[in-house]
Amino acid sequence: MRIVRWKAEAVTYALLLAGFGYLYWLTFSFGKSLVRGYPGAAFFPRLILCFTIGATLAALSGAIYCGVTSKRKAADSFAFEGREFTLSVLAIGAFIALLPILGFELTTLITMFALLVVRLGGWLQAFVVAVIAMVVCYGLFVLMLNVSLPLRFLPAHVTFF
Amino acid sequence: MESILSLVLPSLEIVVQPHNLLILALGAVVGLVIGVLPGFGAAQALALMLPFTFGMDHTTAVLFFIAIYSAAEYGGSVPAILIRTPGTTASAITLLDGFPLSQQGKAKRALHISLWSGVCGGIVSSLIFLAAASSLAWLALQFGPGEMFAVGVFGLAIVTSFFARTPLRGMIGCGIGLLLATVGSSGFGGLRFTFNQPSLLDGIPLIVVIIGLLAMPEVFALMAEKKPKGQSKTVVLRPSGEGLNLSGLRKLMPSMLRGSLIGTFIGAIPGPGATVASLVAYNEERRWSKSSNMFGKGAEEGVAAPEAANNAVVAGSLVPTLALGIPGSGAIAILLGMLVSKGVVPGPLLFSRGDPLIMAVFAGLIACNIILLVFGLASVQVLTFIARIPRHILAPFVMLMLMVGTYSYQNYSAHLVMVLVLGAFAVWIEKLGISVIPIVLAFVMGPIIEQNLVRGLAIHGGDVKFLFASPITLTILILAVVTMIFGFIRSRRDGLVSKRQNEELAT
Repeated sequence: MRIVRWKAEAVTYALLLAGFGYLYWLTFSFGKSLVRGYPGAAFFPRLILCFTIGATLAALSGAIYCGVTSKRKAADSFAFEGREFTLSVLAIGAFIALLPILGFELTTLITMFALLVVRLGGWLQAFVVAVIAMVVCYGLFVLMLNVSLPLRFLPAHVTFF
Repeated sequence: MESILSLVLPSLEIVVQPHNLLILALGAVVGLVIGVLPGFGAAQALALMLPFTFGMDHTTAVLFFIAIYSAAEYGGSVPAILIRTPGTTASAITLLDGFPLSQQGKAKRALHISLWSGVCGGIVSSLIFLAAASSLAWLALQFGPGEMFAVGVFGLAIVTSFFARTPLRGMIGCGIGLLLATVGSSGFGGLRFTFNQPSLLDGIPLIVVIIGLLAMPEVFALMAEKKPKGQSKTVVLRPSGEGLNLSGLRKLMPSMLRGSLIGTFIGAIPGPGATVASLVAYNEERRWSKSSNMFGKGAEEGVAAPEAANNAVVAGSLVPTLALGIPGSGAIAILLGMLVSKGVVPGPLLFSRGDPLIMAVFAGLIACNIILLVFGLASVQVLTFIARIPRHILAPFVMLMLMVGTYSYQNYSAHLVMVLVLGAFAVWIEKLGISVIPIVLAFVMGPIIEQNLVRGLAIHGGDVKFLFASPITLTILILAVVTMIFGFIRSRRDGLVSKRQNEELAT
């Protein structure tokens, strides 16, 4: 899908401004200084927020100005692969959600199979590659690097190379 | 001379230890393989390999990283020469003459020129740095909290002015990076921006920010790649023909040396990076050459100079990183992040203490370039095969590697969520022209700036005048302001030029 640049910029900058405003409000709840000379925990974040809010306001004005002037000519736009982006977020999100429930082995197998089957074409080929990827990952991270992944059944079968 | 030798010898002892040589060789292989994949540069290679350094000590980890960095910079030139697809942005310059050379049946020669030039660039720049290290140690002793704060601000001014499409976007990026760095404990008591989430109490780890902002956008890009319909039309030239002999090497040596000097100098300036170094080296070479009309049609000097500059940047960019804590590029920010995560604080003190790590880095760079030469000459056929792997197939493997790698940092699922959120955010803001590099660099520099400012204020009883009392601090702060003004002027001028070009195209 194509998105008009100035609209995307204006909405993003407005959201960022709202977020920065909220963060500035939060700084009033930060701890006060107990040491002489130390300006307190809120000092540095406020300094950054003032500087960033100023820059974002200027960028927002620029985007709106661009929008006003672009009415007279064709508006600049960019392509955004919304469907692919959403699918990618869902696939990675599913991996994160399933990891503590199903364990590393099944989660990796399911996610890799789902992603590979559309890329390699054949389901058998995708399954074999997914199994190999899972075993290699297990060997690399668990056996070699001692990472404690949430495992369910592999340690009972593969303990060393 | 004696002081240099007293610094170099202990570091050589570290580098020639069998396990460190093995790590350098492993890093060179990994860097070559990842660098050869089109679209994967040094930053992606380092982000992917970051989890493997968790179990290493800091010296071994640095050696592993510099080997990957150097090899990835060379690896990028292989697809540029053989399939007209640069592996890294800097390799796009190599493509101008490298691919025509391949078309003329001199692909093997072009690859050898690229390899020898890269190795020459790496070694020359490391030697320059080794000679300059004692001066940097002297400079380091002049720096207190005020000076370090000013250096941090100067670093941010450079990042803001040169890493983003416009300084305004750079400022927003820097602001976001600095804010992300303030999450968690303030260091002087009190929590900030934790939203009552236990996962944010310790702040956002640098590793998570690096993987989320620098590596995840590549995963999203790979996921969006589609399987090519029908037969692939990519032309892959075979690495055939004669290689580079001794007389050819002697003829190209001046070009390699010029490129190396340009790369070292540009690398030492935070901001421009390998692409600018390659471009400047190419232009200078064309200006010096007696057969400048051959450039773009297969001039060997057109491959040698940018490749030497490209690899010389690695040692050059380590100077501001290790001496001042200012990372010059995304890849260097990852290296810096890895050092910080291992408790090493880059900055002037590293030099003044005579830490063998500093010299080991540069001795390691020389050793890794020699290893790279051997591997590069032996693996041309294999690298050609790797360069042909379709990008869309890589997506699931890269995703798995990053997810498991992030989890392995502290065995914490919340870090995976942070990586996903940061990655999705990075994809969107990059579409809007806000580069993620200023965010990462500001995240790295934020704590340095805050700690030094607060320390200075505490020493001087809250009086900010200490910032203007020292001539060094004042000079650096003035330089920061000048850099920002120059950045705005440059951006305005570029905007006017592009507007004029658009109008000319329209008419």
